[in-house]
Amino acid sequence: MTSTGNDIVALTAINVARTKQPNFHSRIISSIESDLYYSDLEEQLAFEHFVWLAWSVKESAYKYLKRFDTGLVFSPSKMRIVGLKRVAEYLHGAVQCGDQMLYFQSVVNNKFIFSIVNDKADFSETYWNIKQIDFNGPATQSGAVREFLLEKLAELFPATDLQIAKSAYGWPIIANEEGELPTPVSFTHHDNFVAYSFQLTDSLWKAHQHPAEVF
Amino acid sequence: MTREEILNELKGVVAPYTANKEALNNLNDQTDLITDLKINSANLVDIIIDAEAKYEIEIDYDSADKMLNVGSCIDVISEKLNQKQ
Repeated sequence: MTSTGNDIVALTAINVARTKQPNFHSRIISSIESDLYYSDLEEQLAFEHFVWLAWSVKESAYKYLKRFDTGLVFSPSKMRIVGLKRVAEYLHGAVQCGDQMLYFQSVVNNKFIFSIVNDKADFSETYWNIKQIDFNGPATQSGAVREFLLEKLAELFPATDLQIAKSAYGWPIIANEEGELPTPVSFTHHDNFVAYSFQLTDSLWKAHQHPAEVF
Repeated sequence: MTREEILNELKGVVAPYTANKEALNNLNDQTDLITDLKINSANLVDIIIDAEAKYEIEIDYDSADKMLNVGSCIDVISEKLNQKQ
């Protein structure tokens, strides 16, 4: 079984002063993670951006792991960023979640922080994209991100009529007329940004191309 | 404080973070902060900090993790208020 998880934080919507307050950021990053920031990252990132990067990574990890443990509760204080380095335009690193290590790739710019996670430090099979929208109400965000994903799926699978539905546990699924396809998908939105990620391995790609062999 | 009193005050705590005024007006124990009130998860920490300030209580991490719907928020606030006495 494979999974995916992503999260976006709109930097226009965060409260910088509050983020810098210890009673706030200590709920997202530990003192060990704070030490990591001051020893390795202070030159690269503003502190408030590091806090929200950690949030974005941990929320992504939670979404990833929730598919395996439907009773999982999001608890950022129980996850730990254990490494972080810049690779081209991305920040790459790892996050420890209990006894499981997940890997992340993040984009940080002056508008947003966006993260995706995987169980290996390879994102070549993770499709993702981010879009800025004009209106930021929940219904608009939800509709926009679904439409955004469907555009991408129509590009990848032009001969297939795919739809977005919701699993019994609340996460989005990709389905055709025969049911759910084995391609995990994750949505995120915050303020005027929406984004998706989905995992399309070789075998899943073939499943999409030849769905009759799967069902 | 009774649960009903906390419920009424909780409306003021969560109001800045939700645009769903209908759900806010119909707040009850089962109201989910994210799926019903459409509060962005990034604001959940704000709600915990605001609740701590309003009631002059400390909400530990494990208790904060439980605050996903109105009923569990009231449980945690009520428990912390009782510990103060």
